[in-house]
Amino acid sequence: MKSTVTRREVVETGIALMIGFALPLRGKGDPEKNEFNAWVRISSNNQITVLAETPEMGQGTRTANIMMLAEELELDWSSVHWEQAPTIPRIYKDLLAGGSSGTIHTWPTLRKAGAQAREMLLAAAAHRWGVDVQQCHATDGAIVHTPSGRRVVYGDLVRDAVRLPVPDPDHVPLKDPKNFRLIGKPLQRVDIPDKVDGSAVFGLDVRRPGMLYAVIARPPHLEARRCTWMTPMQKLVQA
Amino acid sequence: MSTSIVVNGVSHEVNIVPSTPLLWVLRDTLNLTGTKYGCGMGLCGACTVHLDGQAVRACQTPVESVGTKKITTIEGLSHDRSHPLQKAWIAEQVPQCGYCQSGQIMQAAALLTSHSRPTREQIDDAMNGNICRCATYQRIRRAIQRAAGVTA
Repeated sequence: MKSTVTRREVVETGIALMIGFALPLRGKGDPEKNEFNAWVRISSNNQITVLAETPEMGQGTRTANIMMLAEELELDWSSVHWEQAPTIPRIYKDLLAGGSSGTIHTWPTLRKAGAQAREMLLAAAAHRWGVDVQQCHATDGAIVHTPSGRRVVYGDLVRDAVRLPVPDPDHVPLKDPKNFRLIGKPLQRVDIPDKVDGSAVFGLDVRRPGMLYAVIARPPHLEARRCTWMTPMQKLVQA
Repeated sequence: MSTSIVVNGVSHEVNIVPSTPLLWVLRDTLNLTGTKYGCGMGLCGACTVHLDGQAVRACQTPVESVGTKKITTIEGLSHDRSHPLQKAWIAEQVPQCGYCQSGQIMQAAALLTSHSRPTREQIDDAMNGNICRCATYQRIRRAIQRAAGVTA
């Protein structure tokens, strides 16, 4: 896939790098038609966000998604922000949880997305220093020039990295599992703290301006038919 | 009519039908959504809050019955997740979906107030009415034991 990241969907303000690639199953879709997926955001102030399709419902995918990205992108996993991917069906195809599929479905996607970002950041740093990219490595949220020890954090490379071609997702190098730092190790779930102080927001907790509430009135027996109906206010007046 | 209640140390005047369950005053009037609606019939424990330190089901507590008793919700248990139960809940990785956990923690907090070092039987008795659809019961028990400093 030959494409620069000019069609990235920047959800937040500020300079941000969105890594995306066409899903292989969609036949290397034409990037000109916005057939991109986007899962990684790196802001110039070095905040790294993973956009995840599978909603967290206590099954742990939020934590697993962060681990997958942090593994390939060589990050401190606890520094990665998580964000529910927005409802853009042409980009995000699996905004659901079910069938124990969340981790399996996001595994190739997020590892490749993280690897693409890593490779682009490596290339940007090597170009800036005028060195061979083979002499550079990614570690702990930064690119390091191995021989000299020069170091630059990801956020400082974003402006350069966004101008580079996005690596082909089918050929971007993935880490050898024997080098995994995080995957395969038990970590504390990132969704739990909000669930011990009442701050976690569930469907029932969502408040919108002017929101109305409704419940389904169920009939007391089969084939019942509605004969009269009153609004709650009418009932209150009658009472 | 106006009813005066004290929630998490703050006085509120709420203009509401006096028979309204405390749960709806907390959630809809005061926007304290940490307390959950589970069954509305006092069967599940998701709406557990404290009245003067005693665990009650907010869905079965008419706001007019509260009087001057001090209401504590999960939001008022601590300001920074520093309550020993909140720390223990994180350490033991208790919640899965988390929906029942506010009620679980409030029920457990009332237990530790009355029994600072509860036996396993006392824990099970106290927590018996709090249902968890994810079945996190073993971890709930361990977290209470951890917070109380008692070993299993």
